[in-house]
Amino acid sequence: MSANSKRRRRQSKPNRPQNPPLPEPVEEELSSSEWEPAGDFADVEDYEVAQTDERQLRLLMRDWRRGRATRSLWDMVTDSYVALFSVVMILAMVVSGIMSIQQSSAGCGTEACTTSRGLLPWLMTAAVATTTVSLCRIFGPVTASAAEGFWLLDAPIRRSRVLNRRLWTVVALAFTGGAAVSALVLLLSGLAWYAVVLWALGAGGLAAGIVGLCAQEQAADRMVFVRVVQSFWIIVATATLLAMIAVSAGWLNLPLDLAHTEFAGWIVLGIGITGAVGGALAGRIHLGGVGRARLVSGGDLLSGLQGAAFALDFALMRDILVERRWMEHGNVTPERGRAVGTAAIVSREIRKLRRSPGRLVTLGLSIIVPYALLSIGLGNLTPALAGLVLVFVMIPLFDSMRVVNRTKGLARCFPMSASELNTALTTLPGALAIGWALLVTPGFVLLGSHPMGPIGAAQGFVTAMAGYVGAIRWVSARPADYSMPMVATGMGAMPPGLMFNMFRGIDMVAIITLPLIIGWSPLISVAIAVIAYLVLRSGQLNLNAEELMERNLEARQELAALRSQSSGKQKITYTRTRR
Amino acid sequence: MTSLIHQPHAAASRTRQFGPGPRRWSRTDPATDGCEDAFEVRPAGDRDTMEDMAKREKVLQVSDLTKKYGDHVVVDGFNLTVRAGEAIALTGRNGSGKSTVLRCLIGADRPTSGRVEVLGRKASETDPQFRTDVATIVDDLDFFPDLSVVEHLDLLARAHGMVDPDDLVDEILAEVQLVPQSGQLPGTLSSGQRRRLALATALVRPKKLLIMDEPEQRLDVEGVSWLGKRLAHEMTKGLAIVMASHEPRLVKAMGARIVRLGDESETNESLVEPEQAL
Repeated sequence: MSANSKRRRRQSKPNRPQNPPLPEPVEEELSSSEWEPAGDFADVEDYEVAQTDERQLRLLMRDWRRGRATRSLWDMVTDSYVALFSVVMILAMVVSGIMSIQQSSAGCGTEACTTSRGLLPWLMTAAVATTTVSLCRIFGPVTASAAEGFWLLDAPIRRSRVLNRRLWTVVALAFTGGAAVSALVLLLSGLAWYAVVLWALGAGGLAAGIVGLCAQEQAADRMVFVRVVQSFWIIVATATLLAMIAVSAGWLNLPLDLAHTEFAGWIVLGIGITGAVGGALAGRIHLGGVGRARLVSGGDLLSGLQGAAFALDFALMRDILVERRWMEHGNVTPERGRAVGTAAIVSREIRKLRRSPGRLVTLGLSIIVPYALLSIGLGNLTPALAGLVLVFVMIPLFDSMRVVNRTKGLARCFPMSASELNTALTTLPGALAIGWALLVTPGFVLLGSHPMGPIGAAQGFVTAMAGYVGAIRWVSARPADYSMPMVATGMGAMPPGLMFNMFRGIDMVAIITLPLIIGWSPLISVAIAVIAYLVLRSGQLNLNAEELMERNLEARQELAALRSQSSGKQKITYTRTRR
Repeated sequence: MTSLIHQPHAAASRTRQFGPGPRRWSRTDPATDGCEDAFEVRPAGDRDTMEDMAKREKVLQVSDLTKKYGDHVVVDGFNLTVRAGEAIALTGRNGSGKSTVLRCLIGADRPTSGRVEVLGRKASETDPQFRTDVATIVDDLDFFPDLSVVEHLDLLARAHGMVDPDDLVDEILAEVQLVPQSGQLPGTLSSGQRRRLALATALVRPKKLLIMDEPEQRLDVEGVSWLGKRLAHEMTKGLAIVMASHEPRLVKAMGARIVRLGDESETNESLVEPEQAL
């Protein structure tokens, strides 16, 4: 322990009286029936209680944490040098790519190019604001772990002093994160460097201000304001995205030039800085009133997500967020079901979709994606890219299937096989995928690489099938099995399937759309999609290695039992006669 | 075969849980109203004699069930026969293999060797007939996060073929005392309420065998009392029950036969009385 730590530890100790002398050891042993202390009972009133100092408490906590670290930072670097080296290489490639794209973007002088580049900063600012407010709504923004909630927040100290540093950390993170992401994307737009800096700082400031305001609302235990802000920015971001797509496709003409965008950067910067200062101060003033439940719930969620993230189990991360979202919802107006058997399940899925129609709106908006991709001339790549977008748009439509597939308990309650149950749960999304295909088909027929032909018409359906099957794969795949022997990699031991698990869903899109990319018949894609759907529906792909081995063993045992039964009977032998 | 369409009881004051508007949940089940005579023990005279029992249909037949994890034998040569209207309580210390046996019975775990048959068919979790006949309450039960309490029960009843399950759902909800929570989503329920919902999912559907792992867990005293009476009532209608339990009052209230795991006599069915076994 360093001299500093020792000093802090000494400083952190309040003035306590000397411990009372220990009682003299008792010679005779006490029996369990007469368990009594040898001396008087210890009373807290006999001890001097000092005024608790938040600073000393914080120093003590830091000392505990550092004292219990088993690895130094250098140890960590030497352990993960391969990963770090890879990250440096990838970053170098990204920077090189950005420079190249920036140069080519700056050279594009068409009206559509200029307008799109002018809209991109607005889109990025709206996206950063939407992301920030969404994260604040989910986590807090100020959080505390369960242990901190029990030990620290229960202490007789001013809560705002303990949480003060935490708030500033989140505000600073929002500022730097928002500015960095915004700058990274804006560098692609070919804007002047100072304009990029202006917009990036403006977006960062806006994010910091939103964090501060959300902290104020957290302290007041209100959600209405946060919801309104979130809805506002979602609408702004969506409208800007649609405008950008429309301009790129040549459907819309907006009088925007780079001079306007650079001037607007100053205004956004002013709003951002004002928002950051005002929001952060508002959050700081009200921080003392924040409730423990609100702090700890965000901390719990964060630790759950951390656990899922370490296992690279994105489906589990989504489960946690979905669960949290519905917990916030709390109550619903119950609706009576219809029909019986599997029809009842389909009917219930329709009612659930009516309950949260946002999923349908997102699916509807995604229709514009293939049109935009086709209009910018991506041709045969469109099914793959649009299918990929469709996977992530359709995943929320398979929430029930996810629940039934992640644990067996609920599936056991239904009197049907896994195939029948999965069929019922995929019927509604299937119908929606067909509707999606019908709506995107005109785009493929009119704008695609095979205009006015049957291949163009089929491409829309193949894209929809790719997205549909990919989403089923994403929700039904098992997480990596950590009970199996690990595979040695440069980044340490990994369970088999961990890396492949990251690409679940995407793999189906690639397999189904590959024939279209290389110019084969769409019928091959349809056949692959149907086979993949049937396999996924049966749940066979969800078996882990252990279950497969057990099934294999069981089959062998049954075969052996049949053989032993037949060995008791007279064998029928057949001898081939030689001619 | 039992009719899947439930004949609703004639309840004098019945309210609906569906649709908007204020809910008027006032009816309480006398069985759970107070616990003065909560733990009513089924007298020995009420129980069927061995001859009567032998005439009944065999619902569950377990032959020489063994389960090993690596070299560690958890269950060794376990045999059990359960007939319609009979209840079996598996008891024993923590780690004696009660839950393992139950998980093998419902097909959640595959036994290392041995055979489990339900109504003459090999037990298989994926078999639709098995899922129709057997209701299970073990720890892996999950709920849809966006379906309310009452909607879960409605969905399960309809999935099992009930054309108009409203009355039954109402009554079960009242029994498990989840009427005020009928519109709540599962994520907002307390652990005890989730347990009650799990029990309700088993009661709201037709079944011939009920398998439960410590059903008394997280239930209050009144809840355990109600559960004992409710299960005893189900047994009179021919339901076979196998459960693991540490609650002597529940086992006594049901008049269940006790199979004690972890003893040397484990390979044979134990027929000890509850007072001796628990």
